[in-house]
Amino acid sequence: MGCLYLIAPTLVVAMASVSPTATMRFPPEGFSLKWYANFFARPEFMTSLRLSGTLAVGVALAATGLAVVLAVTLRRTAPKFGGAMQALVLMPAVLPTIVLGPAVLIFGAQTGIAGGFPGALLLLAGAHVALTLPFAWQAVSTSYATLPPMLEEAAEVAGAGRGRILARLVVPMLVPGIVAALTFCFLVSFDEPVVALFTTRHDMVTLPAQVFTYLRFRADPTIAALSTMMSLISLALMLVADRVVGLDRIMGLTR
Amino acid sequence: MTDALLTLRSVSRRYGSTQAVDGVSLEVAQGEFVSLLGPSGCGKTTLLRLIAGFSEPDAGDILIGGRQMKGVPPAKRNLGLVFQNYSLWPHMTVADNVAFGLDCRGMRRAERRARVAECLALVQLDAMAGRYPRELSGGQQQRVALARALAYRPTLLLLDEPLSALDRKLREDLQGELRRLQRELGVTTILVTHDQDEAIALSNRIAVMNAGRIEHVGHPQQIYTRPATAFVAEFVGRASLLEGHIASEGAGAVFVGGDGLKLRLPEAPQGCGSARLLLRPEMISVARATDGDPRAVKVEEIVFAGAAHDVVLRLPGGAQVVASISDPATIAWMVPGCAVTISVQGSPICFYR
Repeated sequence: MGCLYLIAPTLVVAMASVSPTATMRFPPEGFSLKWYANFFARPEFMTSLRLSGTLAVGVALAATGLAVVLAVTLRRTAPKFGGAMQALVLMPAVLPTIVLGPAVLIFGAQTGIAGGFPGALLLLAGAHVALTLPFAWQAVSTSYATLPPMLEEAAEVAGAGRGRILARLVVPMLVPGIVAALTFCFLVSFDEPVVALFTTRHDMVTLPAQVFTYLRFRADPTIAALSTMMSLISLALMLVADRVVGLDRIMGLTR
Repeated sequence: MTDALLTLRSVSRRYGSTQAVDGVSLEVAQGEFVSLLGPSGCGKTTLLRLIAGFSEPDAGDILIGGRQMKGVPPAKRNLGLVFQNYSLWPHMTVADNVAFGLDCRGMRRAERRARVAECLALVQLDAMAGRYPRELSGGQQQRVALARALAYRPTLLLLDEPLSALDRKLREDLQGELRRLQRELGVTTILVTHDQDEAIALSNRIAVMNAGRIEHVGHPQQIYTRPATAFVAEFVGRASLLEGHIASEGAGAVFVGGDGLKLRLPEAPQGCGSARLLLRPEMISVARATDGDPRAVKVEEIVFAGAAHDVVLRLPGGAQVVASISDPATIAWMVPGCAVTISVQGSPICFYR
């Protein structure tokens, strides 16, 4: 039932996206892909798509890298603080983004970091890393817990430094967890609207923020077309990740 | 001894409220094979981890090759280490596993390849170089682990229960291989084990540990025949310990048990007084008891044990003693429930209090 509740609106949007008329109508009267074409023809969407894509890739890499380093360091130096670290890392997941958004905005304004484009982008990326870290942590730490500590100890005795152990042993052995973490982080960052809206500038409008702006002035099915594409991309990414690594196992959903 | 390769000086390590290692001192000479033997929780693995550098002692010194190890991380100690289980890197081939330590030392490619081949030949796994660990049996995996640990010619080889996950036959094969390798390469080796047969089969010397301390260090034979403490006596080999006292009688001595049991001792022990008498199964011989003999003990069970029979005897006071009887004529007349008299052969071991 819950599944239907989530899927039904997506299907409605998908049907509306192929409507030949400018007003969103359900059921559609005919079939046309012109709103898909319209999306790709509008430069503001293309700019936002590039920005969001770059941002999401960067955020995914940073959050996943951070999760790996945190997990390894924690086991090595303070295994007793696993619970505390878990709580700290997972906190952004329960912090409302409506609080995080203004907080980031005020922080940026007060410190002047958000004065220029690079600073503003960095600030937004930082907020996204905090938001995605719980996902990355969940995937990476679950996967890391299956690695016996002896594997790293054996390398240490063999003469390997921390960098070599990370690059040659931990990362290759954690590939499933890392793939899952990258997928989740990318998807979360790519369509995160709240913080992006609060921190938006004329030269920094992410795709979700652009959608919001566009919808305020036009209610044509272009957004429905974009929504449909994003749903399909998400679905495809999850399916690929699942085939590669088995997401249910990585996210600790099943034993 | 200044030429010791490994020196432990009053090494102690506490975990929470347990004194895991308690003032251990030990010297291991170049080329020696020493086992740390003891029950689980005796501190032997903690001691090995201190030597490896995974943790630092709270007190005391560890010297390897005369060099103080305080603050030296595991990677800088040039040690080889074989764990009980799961220690090969699953995403690397056998050859890459063995080459890893050589990589860390920046060895050139050609030389590295030659060394890997040499080490795999040493453990008779040349044909497996391209395989992944999951494609190997448990015994083969442990041989790769051994090759990996020996590849960079470590100063000291540490073995942490390396054979205990394997079944008996394989364990014995690998013991033989380990002994051969150790002798051929002359690498100083420390083995942690709870298996006394393994320790006896492999070691030049055994250090028996209990509650964080070394109770006895010595040649395996010496530990068996002249254990320093009652704990060592019971842990190494099979033993029955009887409470009582030693009294002199004529030229020899007699042991009088708390239950009234009297045993003549063929050789006079070191003194008289309250003591515990150690009886190994092969030190006891039995004879048929005549009816009403006050020294009679009861045969409870006769168990076939290959070369000999284990005869379980119940003493009048309730204590149980096992005798190992290999004489077929004796076994022929003995049945469970019959009465026998026992006597002691060889030199007795007494622990005075």
